[in-house]
Amino acid sequence: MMENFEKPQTKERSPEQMETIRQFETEENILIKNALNRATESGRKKTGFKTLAAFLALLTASTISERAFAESAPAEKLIPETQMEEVYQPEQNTASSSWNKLINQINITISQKQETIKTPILGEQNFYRELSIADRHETDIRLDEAMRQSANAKEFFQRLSQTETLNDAQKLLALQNIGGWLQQTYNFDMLNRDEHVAISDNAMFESMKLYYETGEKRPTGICGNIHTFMVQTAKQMGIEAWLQGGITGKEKPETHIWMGALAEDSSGNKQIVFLDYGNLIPTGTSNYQDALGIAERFHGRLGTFNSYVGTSEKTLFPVESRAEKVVKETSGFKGAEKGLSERLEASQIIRPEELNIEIGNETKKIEFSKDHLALAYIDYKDAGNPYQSLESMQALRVSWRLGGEKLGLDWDATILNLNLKDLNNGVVAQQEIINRLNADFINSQELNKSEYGKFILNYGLTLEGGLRFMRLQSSKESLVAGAEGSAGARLIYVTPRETDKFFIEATESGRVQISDMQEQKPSLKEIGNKLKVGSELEVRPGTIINFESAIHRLEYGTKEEVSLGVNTGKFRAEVGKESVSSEFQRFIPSSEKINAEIGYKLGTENKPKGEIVIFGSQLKEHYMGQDEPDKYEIGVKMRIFLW
Amino acid sequence: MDDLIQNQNITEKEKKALFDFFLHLPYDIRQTVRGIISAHPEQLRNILPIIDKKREFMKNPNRQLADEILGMEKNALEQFLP
Repeated sequence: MMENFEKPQTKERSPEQMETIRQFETEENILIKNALNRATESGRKKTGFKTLAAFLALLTASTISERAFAESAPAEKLIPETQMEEVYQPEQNTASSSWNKLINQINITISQKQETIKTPILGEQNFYRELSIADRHETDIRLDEAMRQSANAKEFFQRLSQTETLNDAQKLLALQNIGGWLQQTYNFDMLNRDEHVAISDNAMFESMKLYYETGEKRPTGICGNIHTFMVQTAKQMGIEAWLQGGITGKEKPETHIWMGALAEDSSGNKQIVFLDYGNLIPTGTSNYQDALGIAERFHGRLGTFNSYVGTSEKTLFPVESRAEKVVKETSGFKGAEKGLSERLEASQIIRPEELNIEIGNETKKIEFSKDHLALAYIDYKDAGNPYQSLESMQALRVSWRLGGEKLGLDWDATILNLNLKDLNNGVVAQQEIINRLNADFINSQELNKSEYGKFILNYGLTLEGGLRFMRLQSSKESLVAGAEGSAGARLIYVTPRETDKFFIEATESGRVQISDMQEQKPSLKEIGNKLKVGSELEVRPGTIINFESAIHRLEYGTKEEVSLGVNTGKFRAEVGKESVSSEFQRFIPSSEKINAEIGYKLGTENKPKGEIVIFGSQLKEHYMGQDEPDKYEIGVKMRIFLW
Repeated sequence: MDDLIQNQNITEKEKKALFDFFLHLPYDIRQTVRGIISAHPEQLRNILPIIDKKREFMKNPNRQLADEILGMEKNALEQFLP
């Protein structure tokens, strides 16, 4: 057998030697082709053919390998005309052969989500139901005093801070009046000039007082200015209040800012309410995601890309209604950090060639991906949840995926037909186009290789942006955009036998968002960083154990993830836990999610035909002042591999 | 892969030869070959002497060695063909 396995010295070959090699390779190829022809003509059984094909593939591979070894040349340059795939095609003429030319995999997922659907009591009338005429009268008198006796905003706020004898419903009634008066001072010139400036509390108060006392309308500020003043006022009255951005307008959609508050209704039930100038929008819940759904039903528009929550000083972070979540997922958004992390693990940009069919109790999807193109049709039907503003949706997504393994540019264009619920149980049909642009860079470098193993460094950058056209044409007020990016690296250590791996991964993410709700200057905000460690250990031949743990420091708190998996070739099982500790439980819940999945591979270990996966999860969420009923999901996924 | 080699009870030299063979294959072909060997471990005994001879040939290409290899390949193929 082998005498010397060390890499030979590279030396120049003579033209005669090169000709000898060329002749040898030609003769070997003829030998292989003849053998294949003889086997085909003799109608060998499939198993016999597979064995022969395997041996022929090894003959070709060994020529490539040994020539590269001798010439110290990259083996890619030496692949002869007879490609490996041409030689080793044991599954020819099977039923799957037409599909496997198109895709590698078919996935069929059937899942069921279960949650308790609540029935809220909505409407202004219900909110004030227990408020007596005397209470209303008292509110009017106190507000009138504050308005007439105050010379400036400071005095106005001071007088309102002495309204502790009023209950929440009375305070909300006062705020509604203030919102109504301030609306009369709306500055349409600022709106038309797209001018966003901070306006002092005094200027706002003076204009409001002028209108209150004389009926004169002095244009002062726009929605951000007016609701910032209203939030300041609410706080002086002892009401927890904040600003909320979104989109309003069934016919003419436009970006808008209104305010939110936590208040007890006249029956003593604490809930999130929104105030849009003089309009009160009770939501009947302390679940912010659900409350946003009621606001969407009131405004007749989804807030996608513009749904931010903020204080009177600064914009905090995006919040998401149930409908926005559905629309973003449908349009292909997954978040820059999540996408980057997947690529850091894979060391490259992956372009799946597969057919996905998903059947859930609300969403049904069919998606086909091939090379640089993907096509998906998604149908959504709400299960009757009043907090879901989307009654139904049909969407068609076309995706172009350009670039190679290191640099990629994705463009997803989704045409959505949305049927939105209003608050009177009617439905409004709307059409939108959402574009997703995603740019990726990923690189993998082997740092050091020795008898002690090797180190690999994967690093990359992902930018994800969205453009939303709400009237299917590019007019100014119909366009909303959002963008975020993430950069990160993963350092991997692989043991000499390549059986065990350890890694550490770090990512940093940022987003472009408006600085505050008045001036609305675009600014880059750090939205979080993540540190992740993990290992893959072969504990015995064929049995691999995976462990991963991550900590995310996010703009609203921390998220910890841990998962443990075992893979024996035929079976695999994984359990994971994700805990979010939110510092802003009013808007983002603290939560705990436990998920598990068990997979069983069909076919042989080395050539699986598919996999059946059973998965399930339990989600517990806690908003400030409200524990949510647990949510469950269970499903079966069937993966069919096409060879 | 290690357990496969151990199961086949092959020598250290053969093991090293196999690793070198893999090392110089393009990545995508390496996966295919790995799959083939895993599915057909009995082929190792057939292919390793040929790899050995090919290494010798690629170091010093000459007609005699080329013929020897082609002869070995023909002989090995006879067992698969009618």
